[in-house]
Amino acid sequence: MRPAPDMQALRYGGRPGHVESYFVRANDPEAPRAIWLKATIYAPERGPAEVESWLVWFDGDKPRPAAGRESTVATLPIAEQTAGGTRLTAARLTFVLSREGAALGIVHTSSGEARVDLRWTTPESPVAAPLSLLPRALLGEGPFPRSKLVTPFPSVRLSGFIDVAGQRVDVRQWPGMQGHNWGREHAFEYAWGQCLFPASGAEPEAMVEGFSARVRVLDKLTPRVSCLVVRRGPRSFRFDRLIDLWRQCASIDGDRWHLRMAGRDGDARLDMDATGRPIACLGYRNPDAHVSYCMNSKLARVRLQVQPARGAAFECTSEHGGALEILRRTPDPRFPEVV
Amino acid sequence: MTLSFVEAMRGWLQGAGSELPVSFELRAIHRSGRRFDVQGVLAAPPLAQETMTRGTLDLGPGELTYHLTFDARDGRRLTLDAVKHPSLRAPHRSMTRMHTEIRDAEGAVLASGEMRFATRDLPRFLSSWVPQLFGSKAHRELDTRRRQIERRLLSDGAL
Repeated sequence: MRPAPDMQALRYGGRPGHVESYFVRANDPEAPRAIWLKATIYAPERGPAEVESWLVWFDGDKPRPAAGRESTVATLPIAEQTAGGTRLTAARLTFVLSREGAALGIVHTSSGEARVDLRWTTPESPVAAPLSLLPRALLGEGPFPRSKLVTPFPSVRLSGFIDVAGQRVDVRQWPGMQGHNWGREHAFEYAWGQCLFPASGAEPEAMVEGFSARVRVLDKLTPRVSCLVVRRGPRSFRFDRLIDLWRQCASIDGDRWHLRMAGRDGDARLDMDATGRPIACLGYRNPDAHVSYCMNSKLARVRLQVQPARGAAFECTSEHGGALEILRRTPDPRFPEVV
Repeated sequence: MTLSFVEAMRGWLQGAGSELPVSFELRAIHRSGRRFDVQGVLAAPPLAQETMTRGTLDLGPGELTYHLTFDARDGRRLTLDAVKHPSLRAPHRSMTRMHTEIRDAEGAVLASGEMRFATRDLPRFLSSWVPQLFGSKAHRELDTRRRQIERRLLSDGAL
């Protein structure tokens, strides 16, 4: 259950041309509400490195989330090993990255200062085991692709409180996850999604995470390539043959991502839709100073259908538990204010 | 001596404006003439989570017809009817694909499409052809799945 040390290890070594993030999100299991926190190390090709803290509070009753970012010049070491895990501070937000981790601090948002005091635990479950979407160590650590992602803790339970938008939100055992990504740039375009489906009756806990992305290789853009991993109880279904374009079909239409995958483990369909849900537009700086625009929703509707190669077909749905991020290189006119 | 075999098929059907996955694994036991009794497990979410099913397989002239009944998640009794048309012109395609329909008790089609036999299942399928008294690994695994479903239905009060 303990993630491999390299999953959480900080890749930034002080050189320019690097961007790296740790993030945590949690969803209220009872209502359309979610919190997303991120700490970013941004090392431009020219200029001093910075650390950034991000916070977005999604409330299904409000059309716009409360969102904010703070940045400061980075001072080394950015992360330190403590008895409780890797401790990383960005601006006024601190992450303790561990099986029993924490997110503590303050971020200024569009609705004033937000304070978080959240601790998480990792359940003993195959669904919660560390996850790498990319299929091989080479892809996870080598030069291609130029941006990487891993999920050290795909399923955690968060408790504590959030003071945001003039209210205190008590967080009690909210399901969530903690991820880590890094690279020389953000992918040119991607849709990334993750959703936890709690156990219900005879239905075991399940989790889905995947992406569709176009990346730059030798200054050329690849076609959209996708990966998908589904876990359901003790079983895992991987759809990660990146270059098998005949057996994957992804569409990104507005705030909706649809993916069809086939492979040795069977067939899968994933539909994540944030249309009409609160979305934050986040400006992600690339080391070459270009900005990418991430449409970030944590309240997406999710439908996952899996036809295993062996065993019964199953379906998992979530009305508002999906984390969906769609990143593009062009701004979205619906969002004149970019966080 | 009564022959039996285990067969699994799966596919995606169109119904209610969207696709739904359907799969079954059946034990077929020869009864008489061209008729087999079949029983096993079937899933067609969201209409039916994995549940038990039974019915018949008829080897008619020029076609193989499956007729299965099962209980939907909402308690309705549904049927799955599927037919293969074996052809010497396309033996692989005609024996591995079949048009399938799921209907309610009034005969209304809830979903329809194609189910397929996966070629990778061929060794398992062939090795499952045994006299009914013996069984094979495929038979034992199917029995295990059926017992798991029975336990779940019992705990849900559905049996």
